[in-house]
Amino acid sequence: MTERTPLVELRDIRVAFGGVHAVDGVTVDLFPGEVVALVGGNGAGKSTLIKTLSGAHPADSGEIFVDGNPVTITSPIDAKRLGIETIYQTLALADNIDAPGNVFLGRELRTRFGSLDDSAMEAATRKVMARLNPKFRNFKAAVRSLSGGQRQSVAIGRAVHFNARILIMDEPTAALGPAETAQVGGLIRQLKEEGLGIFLISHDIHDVFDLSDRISVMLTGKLVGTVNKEEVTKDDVLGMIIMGKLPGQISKSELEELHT
Amino acid sequence: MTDALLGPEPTGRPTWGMWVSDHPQLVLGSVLVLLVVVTGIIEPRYLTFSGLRNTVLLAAPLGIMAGAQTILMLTGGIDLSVGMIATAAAYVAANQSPSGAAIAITAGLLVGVAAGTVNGIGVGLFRVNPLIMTLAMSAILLGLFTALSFTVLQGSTTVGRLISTLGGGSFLGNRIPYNALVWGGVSLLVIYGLRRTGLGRLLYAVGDNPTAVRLAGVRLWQVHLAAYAIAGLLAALAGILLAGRTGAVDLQLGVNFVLPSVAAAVIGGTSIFGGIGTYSGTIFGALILGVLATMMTFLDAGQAIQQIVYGSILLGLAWLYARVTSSS
Ligand SMILES: Nc1ncnc2c1ncn2[C@@H]1O[C@H](COP(=O)(O)OP(=O)(O)O)[C@@H](O)[C@H]1O
Ligand SMILES: [Mg+2]
Repeated sequence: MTERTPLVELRDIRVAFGGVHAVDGVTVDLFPGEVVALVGGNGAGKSTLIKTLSGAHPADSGEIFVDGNPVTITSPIDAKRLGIETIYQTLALADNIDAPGNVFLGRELRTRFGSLDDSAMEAATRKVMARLNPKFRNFKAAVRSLSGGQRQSVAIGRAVHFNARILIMDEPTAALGPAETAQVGGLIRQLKEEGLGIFLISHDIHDVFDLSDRISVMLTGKLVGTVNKEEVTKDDVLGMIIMGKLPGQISKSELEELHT
Repeated sequence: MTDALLGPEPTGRPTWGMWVSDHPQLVLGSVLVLLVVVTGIIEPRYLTFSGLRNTVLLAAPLGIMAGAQTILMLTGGIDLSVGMIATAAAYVAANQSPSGAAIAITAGLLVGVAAGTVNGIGVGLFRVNPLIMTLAMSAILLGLFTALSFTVLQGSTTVGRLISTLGGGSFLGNRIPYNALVWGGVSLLVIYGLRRTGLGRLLYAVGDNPTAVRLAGVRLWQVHLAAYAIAGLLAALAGILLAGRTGAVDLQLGVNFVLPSVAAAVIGGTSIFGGIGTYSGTIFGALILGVLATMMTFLDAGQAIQQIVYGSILLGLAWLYARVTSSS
């Protein structure tokens, strides 16, 4: 794996809010067709880390490489130009606008005369939704009236329509029921199959083992380590999340503590 | 997108609130007709072309200013400087009237765009609260034009013939005011702009969820700048029409229009929290206020009574809209 060029590499990223080192020298990478899970407790710095890649909040220091080339990302526009699309933890949708309006928010299609091409936007949205969520029907309703899963498919539809190469998903299933969660899981597998690289932030250790190839664990702003899913157990990962210890460093008594 | 704005109701028994939210234009139209009829009962002469014409004549500058307010309220903003921008534009148009109507109108409109642009820079780039920014702009313009009215603008108190005709004249046998024609043109542009252009879509989205718009890669300050500049332009146009109608320009010209411009938008269903509203609703709002003003005149109600009536109507509507939207 190391001979290939990573799709994206974040190197020694640091972000501080006042005195709080939210992200403190973290290095992670992601290959095409790979899902890397970012896990860690609340406030570990996962969202802040991926915001440096999505352009929502630039890093104080550190380097970002895309296809091996150093890049500067200071705004969401920079990220989108590099094929980086993000599905945020708190859904970034305009509630009073319909699904096509949200998919094309800020990148509206125009007719020859410069006016909004609503029919083209709806057609494109229907096309992408047919792939993502065939049961999706409400193309004319404000997304406020949609279910959590439908809203999530709109957010994902936006990323897919614009041919993301790198997809960042910050707790994409946090607001969803079991059936919708399974649906998003299927979607992640499908996109991975198509060669996208996906950073997946999740609290659900089962989802993480189900969907990811590698797991990067953060604790209080620092990277505990990155492990191959095949080589670790759930207990190993829990030990990393809670105690900040790599598999093997953890003692028997500590392991028992984990289970109490 | 814009017609189902008050949001869905839970399924079940259809409620009165649901009907209201599904047919806002119908409700507003009924209220308007009702008011016209009541006014006609108070004063039968009102139900003639010239009676109704006077209402439109009154409502047109207000409706245009309320257009500025609607655009900004959609973004979650507001413009308390529309009145002073209107006054400033009227002064400059009066001052330039000897050079011909085209130059006078252009100069007046430019003043509005300039003031609006400064508002937009303050709100968009420096993140000044819109209330504070536009209140400050209003104070600065008042000070500036008070000083100017004693110096360079001294004597600039009347506008040229063409502007007077545009603001106060009528055609088709004195039946249709020219300013209604201007208002009609403005209405088409604003409605088209809000429904069919990218900027229009973004105005709604910015008021709805500014974070989402920023994360979608839009530079928010550009949207604010455009919105405030357009609002300045509309306020200036309203001021020029107003100067044409009253025939004289003074520092009080636009002040009494600020609150009614907000009221017209609110009556028409535009939310002061942004993201919800239509200009067609605002048009009804301006007409309703126009009829009310006429009714007050017939009743010989003083300014004080009028203010109380306006305030009560606003409160009542705020209550009504809150009920309709919170039940979803
Ligand atoms: N905008 C912000 N301002 C101040 N502190 C912040 C901000 N965003 C995050 N933080 C702090 O940074 C730390 C990491 O937060 P976050 O990245 O959201 O963690 P996670 O996503 O892993 O739960 C927390 O201590 C949080 O309080
Ligand atoms: Mg988070």
